[in-house]
Amino acid sequence: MSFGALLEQALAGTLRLAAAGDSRAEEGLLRSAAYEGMVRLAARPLQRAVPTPWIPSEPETKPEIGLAAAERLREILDERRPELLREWLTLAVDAGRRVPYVEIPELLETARSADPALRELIMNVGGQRMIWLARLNPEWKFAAWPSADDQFELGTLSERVVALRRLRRASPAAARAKLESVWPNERVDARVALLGALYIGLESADEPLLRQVLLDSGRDIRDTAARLLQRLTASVDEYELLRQIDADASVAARLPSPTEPWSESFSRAIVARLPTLLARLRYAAPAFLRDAALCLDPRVAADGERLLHLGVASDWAAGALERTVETLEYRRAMRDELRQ
Amino acid sequence: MPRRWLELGRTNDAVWGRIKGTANEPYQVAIDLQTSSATCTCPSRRRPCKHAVGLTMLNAAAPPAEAPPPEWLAASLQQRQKPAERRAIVDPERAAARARRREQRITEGVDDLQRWLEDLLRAGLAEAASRPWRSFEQMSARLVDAQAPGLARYVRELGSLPYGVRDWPERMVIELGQVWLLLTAWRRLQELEPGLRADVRSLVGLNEARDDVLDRPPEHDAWDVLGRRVIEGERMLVQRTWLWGRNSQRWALLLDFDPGGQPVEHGLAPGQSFEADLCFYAGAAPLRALVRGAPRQVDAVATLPGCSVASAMRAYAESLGRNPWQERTPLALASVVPMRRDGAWSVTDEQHHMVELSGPAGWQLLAVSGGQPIDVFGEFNGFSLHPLSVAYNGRLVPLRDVAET
Repeated sequence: MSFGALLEQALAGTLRLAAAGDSRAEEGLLRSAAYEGMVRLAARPLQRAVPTPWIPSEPETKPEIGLAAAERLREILDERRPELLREWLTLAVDAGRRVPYVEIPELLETARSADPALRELIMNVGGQRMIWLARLNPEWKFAAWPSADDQFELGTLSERVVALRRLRRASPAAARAKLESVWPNERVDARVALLGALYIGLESADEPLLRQVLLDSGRDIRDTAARLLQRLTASVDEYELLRQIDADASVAARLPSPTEPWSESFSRAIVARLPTLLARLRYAAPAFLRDAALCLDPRVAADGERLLHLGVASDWAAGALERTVETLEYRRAMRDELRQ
Repeated sequence: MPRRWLELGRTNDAVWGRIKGTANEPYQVAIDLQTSSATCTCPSRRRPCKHAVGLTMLNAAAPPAEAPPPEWLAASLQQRQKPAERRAIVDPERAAARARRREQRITEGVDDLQRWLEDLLRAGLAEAASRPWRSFEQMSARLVDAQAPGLARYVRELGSLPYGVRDWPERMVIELGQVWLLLTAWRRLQELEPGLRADVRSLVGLNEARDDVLDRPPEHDAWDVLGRRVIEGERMLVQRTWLWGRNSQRWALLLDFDPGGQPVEHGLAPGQSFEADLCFYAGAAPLRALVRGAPRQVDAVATLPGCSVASAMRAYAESLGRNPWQERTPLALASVVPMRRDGAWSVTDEQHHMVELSGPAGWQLLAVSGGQPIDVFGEFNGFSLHPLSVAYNGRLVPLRDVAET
């Protein structure tokens, strides 16, 4: 019996077959299925397909991260520490490294539903292979731009925001010039969105542009510009805050938890004051240490280890510090691995 | 999500466990292996209850580790009001009689299964496609009663073969033929050569005892851990770890079950190589193994033992010749390029021979390959390859391992 005939009989059932006289028809069918099925599995003709050659991807310009960092990324992506993905990506971007190829699809999937800030980080660690791969899947076309310039000229608004962030990371001045050149022709919503990209690499040379934008007719635009200007001069506020802390340590325990990490200089100033602060804060210290572990600028977090040791050394804080210790150690490991 | 066993243990005479149910206190479940009778503290009026059935199946699939019996066990077993004639030492005659009884029960189950298969074919597969899942479930339950959990699993899988797939009738016919072949082999067990006999016994559900396997002379080698697949079953996680012996040039499979829902850590991570003693379960082409002693990591896996699609298919056919029931076989392909057509993934080798891919790893493979030839390792089921790792740049990269249901 051919496999085709066998299949036909098996589908129709032996009951419906005219040859109902055969009382062992089912067993015969099963026997054939055992034999023909095995032939089918063991002797399937090889399938042939002539593949269309892929267009090769451009050579990589950034070195791949090391094994330990790759394992860390995998752990973060497996959602054991999703809150640290942005920070890890920022560190990787700062280190000028790219992720292993095997992680690219999952990062693209993450980027697909992410905000422009996260998208920009992901595109910055993907290397040439990410651009190559994104071109092959329509759902990832947001990441398929060969250059940030093209993306800025031709992309949708959210893609242009990503592009401006990328440009800004490469050169704040060039990105500013680009923004200035298109500013008069942009619609209100585009202006607000694009202006936000200036948070990356914010510098005093941005001030004239921001002051000019303060006169814009759109209220959201003015607000964004004002926040950026405030941030430019934040060091003045931070100086004032430090003065207060020096006068009265308890101010440190009531530091507002900022939405963004503390600036590098403020983080340094806090770390430098740690021994005194911890001695004076006593019972308020654990809360302060917990906040500090989350808010310290990553570049200063290495010094922040001193904070950890000081905290653990004091009995009264040890119990409350487990999470702080863990967070700091985790972040230190992330940093160290990306240097390898 | 598999149910959580809070505690599991086994002695020569009994298996026990504690499991969280709806009550505050976990239920205490115990099975007397001498009499196959079960007790459980759950309020269900149905006996044996689902906890006892679960524990029986668990014990058949992967006996828990030996442990000192907890205090509640003795009392629990005495509740059975059986004459307390349990002995400290197993009487070989009684053990043999018990084994015969079990085989007799299995044979009864096998007869039922044969009738059920014939019914299925009398009505036709077209009708079977519209059969409720329950019909498979009932047959499967009957086989659990007959103490043939292996056959029970076979039937469940028949029922869960998705009708949607393109070649459903073909696969169904092949599967039915294989079940029938297994029934026939069981009836003629004594005529088979010892290796195949061991395969049939374990497929039906009579597993070799762990200790017996560990007593065999081991194979010492540097074992490359080439891939791992974790499947979330109905009652537990099943984890398959594939090894390749560098000197022995043979495959080995470590099978781990975890009723607690956590992947098992035996320290053998994909991408690493270990010196270890492996003891193999008996079979016509022994594959499943246990690690004896502590493995020692030597280095990282650099290459795959890959070959062309044609050679791989020949090797697959030969292994089917030794054991026609294998559901999957380890397969390493050299220099293949990923391909995507109409949303379906495949790989082709230099001779343009193609193997279809299954599983979620298509894009990952393409990302690693960049359109260039790569070596791929995975599980082959006769139809498609489920990729688990890829060799790239002198290093084995495990593909992302997502627990499947």
